[in-house]
Amino acid sequence: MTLALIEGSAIVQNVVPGSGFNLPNGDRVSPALDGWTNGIHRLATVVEADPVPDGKLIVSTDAEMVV
Amino acid sequence: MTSKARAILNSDADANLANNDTRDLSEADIRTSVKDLADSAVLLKDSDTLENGYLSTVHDLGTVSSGTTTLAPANSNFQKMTNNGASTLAAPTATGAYAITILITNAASAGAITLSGFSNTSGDDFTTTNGDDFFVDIRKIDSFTSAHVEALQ
Repeated sequence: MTLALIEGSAIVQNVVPGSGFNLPNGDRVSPALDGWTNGIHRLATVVEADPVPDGKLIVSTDAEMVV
Repeated sequence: MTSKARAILNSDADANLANNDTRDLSEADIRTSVKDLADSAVLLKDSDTLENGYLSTVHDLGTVSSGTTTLAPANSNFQKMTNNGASTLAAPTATGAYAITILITNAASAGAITLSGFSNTSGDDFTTTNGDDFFVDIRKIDSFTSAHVEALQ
């Protein structure tokens, strides 16, 4: 399992659960726990992607919705 | 003159500075007592060598479960708190140079601790295991503050 450090709505970095990590402003947080929040920063579990079905091929991991 | 313990100074005062009913209290008696007192005290304006170890009272910050705790050296150079929820330990802001050691003990609902505003942090990571203990050694000189975390288990 990996945790994502999120600032506002942007992922800043991945964090190892239970470890310590630094915020962009230099503050030190430990331990890293899912659900932790402090002002504009929070930690959330990174959900693993679904397995690729047989016969299918990933050509890109980026997608953009165009309306 | 002579450096004396508090109990000796008190007994000397009783013996040598008794009520002056018979007017036998001299200037020399008072001068000797004042100089003994000066030689026995640790004075702010003098550089001195301490002859004894000194004990401190530990300031108890109680149970902290949220928010920001900013340590004040005036409370004590030795402090303690119970971690029972995610909170922030902020760098002290009081002017001057000083050191503070704080003992942090995890309770059942201990949370992550954010060390905020320090020039540098080092040492172990905190845990949330109930009963775990940590020393955090904090120093401040001029505008620099540091925090060193030491796990005690």
